[in-house]
Amino acid sequence: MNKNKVKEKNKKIKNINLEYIMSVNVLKNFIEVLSTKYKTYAPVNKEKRVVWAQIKNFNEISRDYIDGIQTTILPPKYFFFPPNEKLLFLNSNNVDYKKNEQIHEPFILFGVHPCDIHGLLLMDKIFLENYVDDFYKEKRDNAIIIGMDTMPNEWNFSKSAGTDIIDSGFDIFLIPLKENKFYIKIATKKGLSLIKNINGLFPLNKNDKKLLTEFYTEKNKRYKRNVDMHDLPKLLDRTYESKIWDEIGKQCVACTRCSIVCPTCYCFNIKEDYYLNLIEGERVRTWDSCLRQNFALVAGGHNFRSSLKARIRHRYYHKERIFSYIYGKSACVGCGRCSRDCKANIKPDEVFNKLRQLEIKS
Amino acid sequence: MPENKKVKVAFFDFASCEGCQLQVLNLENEFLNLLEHIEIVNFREAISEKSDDYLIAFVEGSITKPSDIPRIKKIRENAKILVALGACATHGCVNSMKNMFKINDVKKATYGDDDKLFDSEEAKPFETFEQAMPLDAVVKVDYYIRGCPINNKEFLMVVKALLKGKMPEITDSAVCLECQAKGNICLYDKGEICLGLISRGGCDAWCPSNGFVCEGCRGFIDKPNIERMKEIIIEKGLSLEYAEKRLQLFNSWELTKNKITLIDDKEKK
Ligand code: SF4
Ligand code: SF4
Ligand code: SF4
Ligand code: SF4
Ligand code: SF4
Repeated sequence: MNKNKVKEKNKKIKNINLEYIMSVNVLKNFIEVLSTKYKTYAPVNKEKRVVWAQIKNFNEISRDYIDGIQTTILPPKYFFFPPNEKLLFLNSNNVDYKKNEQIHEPFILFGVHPCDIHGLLLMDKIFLENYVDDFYKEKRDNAIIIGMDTMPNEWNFSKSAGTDIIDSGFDIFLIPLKENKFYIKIATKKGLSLIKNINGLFPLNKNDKKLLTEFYTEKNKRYKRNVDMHDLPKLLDRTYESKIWDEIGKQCVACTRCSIVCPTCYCFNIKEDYYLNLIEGERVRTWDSCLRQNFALVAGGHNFRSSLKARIRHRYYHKERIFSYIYGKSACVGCGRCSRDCKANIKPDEVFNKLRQLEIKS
Repeated sequence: MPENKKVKVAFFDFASCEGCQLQVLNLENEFLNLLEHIEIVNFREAISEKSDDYLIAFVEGSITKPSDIPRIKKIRENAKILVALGACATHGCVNSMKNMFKINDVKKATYGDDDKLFDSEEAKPFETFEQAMPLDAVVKVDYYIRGCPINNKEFLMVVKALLKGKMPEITDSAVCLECQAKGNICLYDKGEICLGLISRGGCDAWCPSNGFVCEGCRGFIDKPNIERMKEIIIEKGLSLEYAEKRLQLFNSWELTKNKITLIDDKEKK
């Protein structure tokens, strides 16, 4: 058996597909049990917004988040690729370094939306495929992902991005249904071990299936943002010189927030800081953004993208064109976070629509 | 390290509150550790000796009067590396607020009727320029430690990098980068005007993280899109007058130099 076939087979063994229905009370109990065993992180309200935080019971979880009114400020990448991470300890006397051994224990991310799970799977391509990033991998291996479907919020266009449905990348997946019920799907052995002692899981009956269909009908109906994303890389190839980029370049203020809140932006900066003995020090990784003025500055003082137009255009070309050519997929999962947080009102779905329309017109 | 291998460092100040030098002294123990690698040959706030022999000069304050010019030029000549220390030195800070007015009005506002004393012979040494200027309006500056006041950890970082012969990593990104990376709730979402959008970070978004708007004490990012910032404030129904006052607090040098205003004279009526 060749390597790929083995992989394929393992995948099949790992892929369990058990579906049940449970009441919200059973879910409450489930979360209480889980959170005593594992650190459990879920979206909770903070003032009028939603952030990830450790929880102990179901009632702490943001209602807005469950209902799909809004999503978290930062995406789940935060847990695997933190904004500020110590990587190595250096010693310039013997030109040696030591890895920063972090303490790892299994933890639960509860309620990850389908588009964000897609986001994590894309991050895996970056951090695990060609070059394995230990720091990312260790945390990723320890994560138990409990996904949860939801209604689209006002910025989300995941249906257009093809990320509204998810069939892998989670251990357990939930769908909130009417009549205070939750659909639960167990997809991995890890997931199976979690529900082992949970009573109150029932096979889906006819009514449950009807509720499930209703959920999806409602979800599809609620998408306010639709955009034709087919062949985007080619569309971008053709519109590199479009005047739309001049307009957007004037609109952007280079605040960098769009890339910071994006579930698939992975640019980072590496800094070295020495201790006061000037011999030992540490190497730290921090989030970075291509919208920053000197992001593309190289030795000799040349900046490949000094204008705002060039930078914001690069963001779109990297997400849609470069990423697609390398990984066969767009890097934008349509989560809408950048649209929500861009004070200059730049929204990817609107940008793509404009490009498409302009092309049709001309 | 033998005594004579220590790098000679000097501190100077021009128009400023000396708070940034104080921030350096506030390092206390770390400052003492630093003295194993550097020898301070000039530091009015801490020592009385003076010397012209130094490798690195840290200069606080803005250039505001004719007698400052030969002095800063001399420092530039002596120093191999000149570091602007704090907002007055890097971009004019509050000193440059006077740049928005006629100098005689400024004198009047400050000294009342005594303003005529400026015309006397004895007052000659106190003659000031119309404009308060950052150091780089007069001499070449190699590195900028920004902020009002500076973050003394950043000062340490710069010193250590220079001693290691590395280029100090001074950020050029907007405050928003650090603010969002911390997961803060944006103050615009609470109806406030925060200058973090177009202001230079490096302070770990100190003010927004503590619930206060950023006032841009580290200056603007390169080529700030103020035109768009103005539109954003209008779109959000916030006060341009207020925004302009905030902008002027630390950044009047850049505003007057580039003739940037949020409110045109027409609009002002
Ligand atoms: S969030 Fe908007 S204004 Fe800020 S860098 Fe991104 S596109 Fe530009
Ligand atoms: S580009 Fe915007 S909409 Fe797309 S994944 Fe990133 S944050 Fe979400
Ligand atoms: S280049 Fe820009 S768009 Fe691409 S991952 Fe980096 S920050 Fe995001
Ligand atoms: S609070 Fe200020 S610094 Fe923070 S994200 Fe909003 S505009 Fe940027
Ligand atoms: S948030 Fe703004 S005003 Fe506050 S310290 Fe940072 S740059 Fe200065």
